[in-house]
Amino acid sequence: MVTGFWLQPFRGHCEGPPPDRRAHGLTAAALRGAPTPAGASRHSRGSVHALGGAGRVPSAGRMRARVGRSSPPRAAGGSSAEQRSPTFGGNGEAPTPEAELRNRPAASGAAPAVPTMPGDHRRIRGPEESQPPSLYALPGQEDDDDEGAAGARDPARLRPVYARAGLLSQAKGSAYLEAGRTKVLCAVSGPRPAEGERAGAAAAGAGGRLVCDFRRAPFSGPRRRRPGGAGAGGGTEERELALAMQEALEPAVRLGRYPRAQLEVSALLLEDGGSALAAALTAASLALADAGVEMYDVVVGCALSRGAGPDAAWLLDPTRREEERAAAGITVALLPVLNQVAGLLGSGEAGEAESWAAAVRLGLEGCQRLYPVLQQCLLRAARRRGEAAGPGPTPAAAAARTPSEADAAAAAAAAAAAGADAVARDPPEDSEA
Amino acid sequence: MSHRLRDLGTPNPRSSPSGSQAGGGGGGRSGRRSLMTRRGAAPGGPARTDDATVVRGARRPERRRGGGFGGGGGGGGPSAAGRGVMASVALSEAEKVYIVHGVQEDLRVDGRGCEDYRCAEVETDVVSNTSGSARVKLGHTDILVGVKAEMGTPKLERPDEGYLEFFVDCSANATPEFEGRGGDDLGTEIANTLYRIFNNKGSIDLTSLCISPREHCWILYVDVLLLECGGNLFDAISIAVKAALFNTSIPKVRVLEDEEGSKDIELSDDPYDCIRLNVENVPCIITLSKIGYRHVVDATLQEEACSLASLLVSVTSKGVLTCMRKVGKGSLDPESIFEMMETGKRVGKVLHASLQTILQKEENLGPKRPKVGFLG
Repeated sequence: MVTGFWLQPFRGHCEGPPPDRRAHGLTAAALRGAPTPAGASRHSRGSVHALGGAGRVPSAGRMRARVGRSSPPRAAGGSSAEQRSPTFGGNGEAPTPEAELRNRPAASGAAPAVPTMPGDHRRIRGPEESQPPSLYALPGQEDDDDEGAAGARDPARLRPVYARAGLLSQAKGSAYLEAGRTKVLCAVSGPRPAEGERAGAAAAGAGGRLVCDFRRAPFSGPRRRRPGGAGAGGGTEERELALAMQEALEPAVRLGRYPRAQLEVSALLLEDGGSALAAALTAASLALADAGVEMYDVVVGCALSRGAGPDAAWLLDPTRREEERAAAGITVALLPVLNQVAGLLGSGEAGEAESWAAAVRLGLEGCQRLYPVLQQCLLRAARRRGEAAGPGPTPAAAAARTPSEADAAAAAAAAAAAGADAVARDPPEDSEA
Repeated sequence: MSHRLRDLGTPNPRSSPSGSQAGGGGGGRSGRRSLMTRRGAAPGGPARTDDATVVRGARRPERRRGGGFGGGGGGGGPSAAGRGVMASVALSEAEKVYIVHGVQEDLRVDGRGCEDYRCAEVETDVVSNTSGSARVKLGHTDILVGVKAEMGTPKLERPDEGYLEFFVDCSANATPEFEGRGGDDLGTEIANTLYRIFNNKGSIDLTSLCISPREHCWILYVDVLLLECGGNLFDAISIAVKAALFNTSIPKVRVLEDEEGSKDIELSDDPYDCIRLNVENVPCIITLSKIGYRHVVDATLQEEACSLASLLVSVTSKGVLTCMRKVGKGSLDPESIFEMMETGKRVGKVLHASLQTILQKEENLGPKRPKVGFLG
């Protein structure tokens, strides 16, 4: 990207039209993105490299772009690139427009095609807060790059899911889940002695505590989020989702087996491609199972959204675009073997109770279809761990146990992938450790 | 009747509604005196929770099922209150069995049925520094809500709408656990839920809060104070918020534009020249707590201790659901969720109807309404 700013001016310089005329021609060429002659590009690459050695390329490139006219670099075109580069590298200064003005040879001042005053970037400040223009794109005009056009899609389609458990070596258990563009990384640590002022309250209860943390990466969305949740409502939204995670995971974990202890689950949303909470829930339960925490069942999450209008349909597993357009959304979490709803969080304009009930039904069905994928993922993780542990009595027993189940799960997953609704129900594979 | 929002106040015969609403758009803040709904000392009114200590001998204790999974292995465990921060009581096993069995028979400790609300007292216009305020007592739960309107800039994505900001303060008066930062988690949770139930176009007409698009709008700061926790916080808070929004009057302003294009905002000289909000579609939260096989509305603290999971739905007066949430550490059967949604809708409609009647009546009493405030 940076080279885009640099290559064009220098290429022009090498092609060698007289310095003054170069200004406009070059800008136009740069804008048009004209193809580069091979020799010229080689030359220019060399010069960029020299500047890159001084570590100034990005800042210099940005500065040129901000000044808006391509004149300063070209003004210096009287001297060759070979002469210039040691100048920057040698004195170790950022190439300010003033410095370039000073470098400008007297000859180029003969007929200035552009005003000689450089833009004073220090005085003309940009706005405190800026938004990328893509946010203002009218609905329908945006390029629907994510996962196909949203116009006509099967309301019950689930995006392809990739899940892997046990990938972080330092955490007790971990999982990575990718559904479409949504990417979540989850880690579990503990059980450790409960701490904090509420330890007494936890001790009074029968079981341990589950502490959940949900975090969005600053680059998870199209808009950068300020880390720490200082943005508008950012922190509270994360806390709300963390609470929703906690309430959905608690029914699945046998907290009674961990008295006076706490389990910590943290989910990091790397990229938000829609249905973030659902993906985080699923990943968290995979991580808990990977950590060998005793559980009744795994938790599978599914999100739905519904567009505006009275006769809009509920869409399963919405993408981010669909979520943005939606008037209502809901996330359901299911314990698939026990057929119990572990979590439910939704709001918006979806009308009567019947419509919501239909959404819950569709969501639960989606969870059931997702379940074989998780089974398979956990089996694979267990097998990997068995292989890593080497031959021994326990892994051998595990290996003897797994193949038939693995085949069953694989068959079920294949059936689900083929779009079959009927999914073979296997005995729960949640706490395989 | 599935609730008792009882009106036992004695309206003052002299304060007929004639004077208060004379000029259209008049009847400003001070012109609105209201009737309060007083809880009577009638039997079945206040929650008699001490009864819970009595155990009916003939019943064989059985394990609770259907209330969900988790929570330390089924029915056992003393006082496994859902959240660590929520005010909770410690109940013995016998007390719990008593409550659960009573609910099974549609008879609760304080004599209510499963779909009955406790008596609610509503009084509006209780804090003079606000644009609108309300105090709601629901059993032992006591909530004070103040709405303040301030001018601000509309949000970038909604240039022609004002917006609401919620803040919930869990005062340490309610329970010592809220001391310091102890109530923060609960406060954020409730505030987030309030944002959710208002998160749709129908709930309140936000465009009426816009003064000039992209530049000025009204921001309604809704501040909720928890004075006392006696169970069912969410419902009580949502009733109080609705009553306070009903009571809110925002001064009318005009935008004057001179020939150079600069704008001036002019406040009306008449203090009674106000806009009132249309709260017809403001939803109320109905919390349905699963106890044993059944679910109850408006659970007391004792009943909440017996419930592992509840479903929270927000219902408008027309029966439209705007928010759904599972609360607590248990799980719910899908079928019972659908039943609970239906119950919530049914109960919600009745609740809205009686709340609307009470608020209207209070408003019609005019300026001479006897005020109760915090002494009653």
